[in-house]
Amino acid sequence: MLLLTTNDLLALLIVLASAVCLALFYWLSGTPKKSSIRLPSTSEALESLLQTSAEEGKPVLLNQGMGFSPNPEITGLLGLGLQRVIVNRSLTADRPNMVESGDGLLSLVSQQVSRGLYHNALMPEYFNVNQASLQALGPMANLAGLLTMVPESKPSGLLLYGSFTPEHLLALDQGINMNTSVVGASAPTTQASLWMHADHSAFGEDSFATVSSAKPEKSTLAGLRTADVLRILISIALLAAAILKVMGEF
Amino acid sequence: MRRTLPVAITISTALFVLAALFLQGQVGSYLPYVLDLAILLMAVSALVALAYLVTRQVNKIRQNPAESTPNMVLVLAFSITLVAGLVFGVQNPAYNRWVAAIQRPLQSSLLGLSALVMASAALKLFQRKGIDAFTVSFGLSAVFFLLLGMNTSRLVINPQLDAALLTLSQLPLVGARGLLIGISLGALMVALRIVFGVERPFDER
Repeated sequence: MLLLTTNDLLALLIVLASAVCLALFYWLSGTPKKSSIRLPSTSEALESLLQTSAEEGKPVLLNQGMGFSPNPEITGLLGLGLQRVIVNRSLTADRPNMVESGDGLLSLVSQQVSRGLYHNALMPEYFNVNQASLQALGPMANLAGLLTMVPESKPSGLLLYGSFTPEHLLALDQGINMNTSVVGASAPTTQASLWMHADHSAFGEDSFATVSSAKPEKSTLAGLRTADVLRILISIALLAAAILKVMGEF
Repeated sequence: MRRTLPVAITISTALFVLAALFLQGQVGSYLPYVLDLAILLMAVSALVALAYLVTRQVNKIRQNPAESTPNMVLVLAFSITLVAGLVFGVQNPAYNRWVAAIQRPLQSSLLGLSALVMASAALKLFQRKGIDAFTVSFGLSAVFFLLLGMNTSRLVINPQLDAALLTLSQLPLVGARGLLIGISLGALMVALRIVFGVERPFDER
């Protein structure tokens, strides 16, 4: 017997509608051009940061935050997509880009991703486990580790992408003399506090869009198109609900 | 096979968890087993990652002992905490008091420092980002909602204005919900791409 509440049914409906939209965009349309997708400003900032970093010969430091702990959530995976992009760009560099995280499982997945990128580029001997490692366990310990890592590694730019706490603005404050700091955080309070100190910040769904547009593949761009369609549908639904509420229907 | 098996496990686990959430009467009783397995895997991976962390610190000490005082403190503190935890157990009240007595002051000092930096960042905001519509509206709304949060509306004796202020005080909540809808939308897209097997966060390609 099904025990579904109205909220469960609505959630199921949204998931199914998203799945159908995504499948349609993925299988029916051809490979979309990157130029046809609305890109957040952080995409351009990221590209510029990677170019500057290559010219200066300095690494970019990416911290992926708390990942799956204390609450396992999909936003903890935000940094992994970005990691593929930045590691790929520095495979042959003297000082490759570095990735750190504050969660054990995320750091192991992150190591696997980096190791695989070097393996696929036929240079597995260049992979160093320290390029994708655990900073510390826990948000405060991760922050403390980051505070020592920024002056020690003298990076060209700092990327904070994933689950963070508002206190991580201390790391941005410490790296104030760097070229750029790009932030994509999942919690609204963190977004607000980090925005004050970051050169470029991605809000809401733009956090996901930055990662997707940095890796313009058919699936990621189809996901962006689906998100656009869903955004329009949700806006219409919210407007309709507001009108019905004003009319006293609810 | 090497690439297909992880994707198959991911898709089947995701579909099973979804089915268990929606069909709780039929398969919901099996969900705790899958979640326990996930917790166990996370714990083991945390141990492996910790071993990497300690090894890295030890290597740093070996390479440059003269400039490795913080690394030595870290390894020493980690070893003492680990041994004490294994001997006395993590539920031991004395052990917990001892850990908290070190951890809490450190965390509080970091929080205090971040409060100061946040205040200075708010002051330097216009200098860093320039004066545009976004920064000006941010500054004005911060002051406005700060005053509203201090319950200044009780000074207003006009009931209509009071009602208007009450409605305005809900605006930050509306904004936060908008951001959360956006984040959920992005998370939903990533989750669906993983379920369909077109996105592989664990994959190296």
